[in-house]
Amino acid sequence: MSEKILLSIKDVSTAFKINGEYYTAIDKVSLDLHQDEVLAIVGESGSGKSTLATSIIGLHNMNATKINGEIDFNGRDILKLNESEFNQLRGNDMGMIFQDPLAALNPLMRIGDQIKETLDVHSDMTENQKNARVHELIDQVGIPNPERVARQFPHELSGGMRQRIIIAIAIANKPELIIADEPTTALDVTIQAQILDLLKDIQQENHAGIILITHDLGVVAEVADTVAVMYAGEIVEQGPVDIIFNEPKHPYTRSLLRAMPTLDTENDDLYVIEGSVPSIKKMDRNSDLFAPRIPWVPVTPGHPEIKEVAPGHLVRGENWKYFKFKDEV
Amino acid sequence: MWKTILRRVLIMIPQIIILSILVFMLAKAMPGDPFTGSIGPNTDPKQIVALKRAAGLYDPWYQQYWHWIVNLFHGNLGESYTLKQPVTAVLGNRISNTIWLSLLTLIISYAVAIPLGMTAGRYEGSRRDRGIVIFNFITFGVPTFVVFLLGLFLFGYQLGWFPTTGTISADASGFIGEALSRLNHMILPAILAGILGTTSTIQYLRSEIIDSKSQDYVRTARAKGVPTNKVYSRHIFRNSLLPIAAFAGFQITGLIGGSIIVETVFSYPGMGQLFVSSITSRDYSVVTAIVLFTGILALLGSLLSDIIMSIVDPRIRIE
Repeated sequence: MSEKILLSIKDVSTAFKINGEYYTAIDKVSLDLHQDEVLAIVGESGSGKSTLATSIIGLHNMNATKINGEIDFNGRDILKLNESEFNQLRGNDMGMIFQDPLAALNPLMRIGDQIKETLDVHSDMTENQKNARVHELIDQVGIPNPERVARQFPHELSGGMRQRIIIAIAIANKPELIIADEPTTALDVTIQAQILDLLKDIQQENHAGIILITHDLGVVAEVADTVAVMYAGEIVEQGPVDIIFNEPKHPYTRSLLRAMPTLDTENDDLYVIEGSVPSIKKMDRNSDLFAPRIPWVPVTPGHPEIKEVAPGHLVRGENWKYFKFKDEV
Repeated sequence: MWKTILRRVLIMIPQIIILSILVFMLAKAMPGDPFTGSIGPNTDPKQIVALKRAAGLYDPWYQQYWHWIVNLFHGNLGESYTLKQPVTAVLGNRISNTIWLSLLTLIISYAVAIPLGMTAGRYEGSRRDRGIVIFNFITFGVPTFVVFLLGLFLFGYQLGWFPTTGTISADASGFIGEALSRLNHMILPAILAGILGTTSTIQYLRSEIIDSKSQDYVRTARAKGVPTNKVYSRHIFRNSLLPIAAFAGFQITGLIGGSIIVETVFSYPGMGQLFVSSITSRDYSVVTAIVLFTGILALLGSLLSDIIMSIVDPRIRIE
């Protein structure tokens, strides 16, 4: 992990317009990503992980979205870029890997053409060079017989192969930043491991910074350097991966880790966090948003702030100091 | 792809056989027989029975059907009772008139509907979109014959821009002169019918585009940094035109089969007009021939749709 800060997110809030009113989906998120760093963002569905990623790569429908704050990428505030300036960045300096490989490829276009499209936009290679690069990329993501695959259509490939093609598209122009939004969720376990290995290889080769969005803590443990835990659109705990796994502080982080299935416990029952993430319309941002899901813990009034508890380790609120699970009380 | 087409053509054979049986049965079920009305009232009933027997009307239905089919393959569809001409001769010109008019109508309809549908879908909710939706309501809501009559009155009689009847002027000469004269006779009905026919295409295309916009592959394209205009032309429009292309085959047969009103109003001697007049004059052999023809046309339309689909959509080709 290098010292160079690649991406610096400062107090970013994103709000969506629903029936004429704006609702905050992510609230004052601040994060730094270094070159060569794999930052995992974890949290349940609805916690704002994907909204954050989409805000970074600028793919929200801006007619119905408001983003405040600052996102510095290589020293430029990308929230101030216009659409065509942003288009030069997307696919070139930042690549995105999407969740659902079945839907993320155009069913009517040949695989090769879909990879080549990103070269068409960003490079001045000749047609032959582009074709050679396409074959090289397909080979790099571990698919045999690149010439044949380039001529095929998405429906002719398996899910794992399609996910590799999505990765090939994302890395085609050797971006410095790769955002991977649940890259392994739609795949079966054996393929998951292969895809994660592939991501790690690419990161080492290109010295890219990766933001990995996932709700799978097993994936986090395997590849991440740092972890940010999100709940209801804000970061509740953030730190190096070994600290988050070994000394988790925030009740949400601890609940998530406890809810992770393991083989070495005698108890067969999975831990379940009560309730669910509140809907965007019902979030009271003046309160501790996680409190309703641990009702046995006394509520502290007001909205808890995030504080550094050890170098590089940030935790929101104070109730972690006395938090105990229900069965431990 | 050839396999797909071949398979599709083979499926058509039993469909056509079933269709011909149905048409034959319907013709049999119609009241009266060829001798009704054409034989004097004082003729000996025994003689009528003898004539009917000679004509094969007492044979079992499958023998009669076979006889009819064999004649059909020899291009013999019987004789029109009212025009006293072979049905094939009566139909020949009419069919080509109708097919040309329908093709022109379809082209005009798409030329209007596709740009409008794309604009409405792309700029959903904008003033342009709302204008197009209102246009859609109007073309859907007004009765077609009213529009045809108004158009005929205004552009044909008042302004005199277009001929009001027929398919060709008597003084047209030469290949080009005849073709232009035919086009001139078709253009007003084709424009009016074409515009009225835009409703479903616009509405379909609009909702397809709105749907495509939120597809994941569009997000992938945008994440590549592809400019918005290109995202539309390369990804959204192509995928949205798929169902429109699939419908083109049905659309054309629908137009040919549904040409009655436009041909009647514009006194355009096509199949629709002939169909109406032969029903009113109980000219059953002509009616049967037209029903059989439109039935086959519908089958061909769906074949055409499937072929178009297999060309534009790689997913449904049989390898």
